[in-house]
Amino acid sequence: MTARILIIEDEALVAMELRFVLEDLGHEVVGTVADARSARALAAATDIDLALVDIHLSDGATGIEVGRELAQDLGVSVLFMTANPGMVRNGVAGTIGVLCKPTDERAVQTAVDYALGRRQGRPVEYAPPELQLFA
Amino acid sequence: MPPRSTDGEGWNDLFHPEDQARARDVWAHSLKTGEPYEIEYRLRRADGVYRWTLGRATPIRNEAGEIVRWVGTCTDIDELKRMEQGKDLLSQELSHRIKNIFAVVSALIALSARQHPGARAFAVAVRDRIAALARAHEFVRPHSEVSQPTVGDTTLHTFLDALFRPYSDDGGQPRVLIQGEDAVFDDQAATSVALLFHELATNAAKYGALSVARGQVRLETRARDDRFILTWREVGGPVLSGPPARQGFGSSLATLSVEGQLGGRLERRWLPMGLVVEADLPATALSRRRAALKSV
Repeated sequence: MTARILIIEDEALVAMELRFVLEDLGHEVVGTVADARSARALAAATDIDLALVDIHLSDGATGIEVGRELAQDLGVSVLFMTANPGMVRNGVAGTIGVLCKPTDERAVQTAVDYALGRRQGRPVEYAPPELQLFA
Repeated sequence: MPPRSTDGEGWNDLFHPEDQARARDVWAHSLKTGEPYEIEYRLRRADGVYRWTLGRATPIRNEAGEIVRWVGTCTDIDELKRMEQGKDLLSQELSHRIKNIFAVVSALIALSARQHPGARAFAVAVRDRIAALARAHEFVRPHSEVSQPTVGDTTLHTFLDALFRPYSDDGGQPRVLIQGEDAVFDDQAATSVALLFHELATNAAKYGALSVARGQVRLETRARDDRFILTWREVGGPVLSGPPARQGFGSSLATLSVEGQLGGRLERRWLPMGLVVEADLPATALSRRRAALKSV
């Protein structure tokens, strides 16, 4: 399935690589943004299936709150991607889980497939091992 | 401080509310056992400001050995405490950035390789090695409560469990089974341990036990006298006919990690049922800093 995906990541190189990987998989990247305000603005104006959300953005550790809003208020599926997964050790309401950076194409692909599978109510067997799921 | 305000229960009210229960417990423990009292708490100064204070007390005994009174001191350590907190914050921030740099470097390699389709396999191998180093860093870096790894204690076994997680089977069950004595390890050893086991696991996934669905690895760790021995044993994989014709860089990297960096010996045996690798390390290799402290 082709999904509309938003990348929220303040490291331009990491965001660009992620965009290429998602596009190679046939997804449409609706945007890459580096701070919470741009993320909210873009999410309000566009339909998004899935958001990949870094925690430390260019305006601070704002990713957690943005992720929660996207998931709870807008019904977007949310995966966190961070070098410091301890920041979300207790989970974030409405979101799926966290991938630990640095990550690779295979881990991104399986985590995205898993998230989209859950979104569509497809039976999902097992989460990829690199993805820490929130309860 | 008004006279007698340091007596009995009234004294405890001068502590910061968050410290009162702890202070009461520590003091009660000293009263009961006669052990010297030592605690850090926030103490309210005459102007109402709380200052971090080191409280110490020692019992004075009569000839019969009974405690007749306690003599104590309070030392203002507020400056010191602030410096410590500042230092912790700084090292966590630095550590966070280092972790982020691993992600940036990894992305840079992937992006560069896109221009050169022939470099793809190379890029994947380098990124996997960098990911192993990043995992090692995550385990041994200075941590605050929020940044603590989400997997539990920072011991060798929990680290290896995390390193081998990508090799789990489709049901999420580990295929590298770790048993034996656990050990603590520090930042100096982490890089070498990560590279060694990353190379062994990658190799097993390409050519060894992890290349077939039912294959497994048993990794046994044990302390013997002044050595720490890790034995990697592949089972259920393809039958081997002897050493490989040619050894790759991964193999040199594993040897270099053990023999060059950790000061140990690495021995490989290509048995028909599977590869067996034994890393025989000096017991101090995993935690050199701790060993150095002990020997002082």
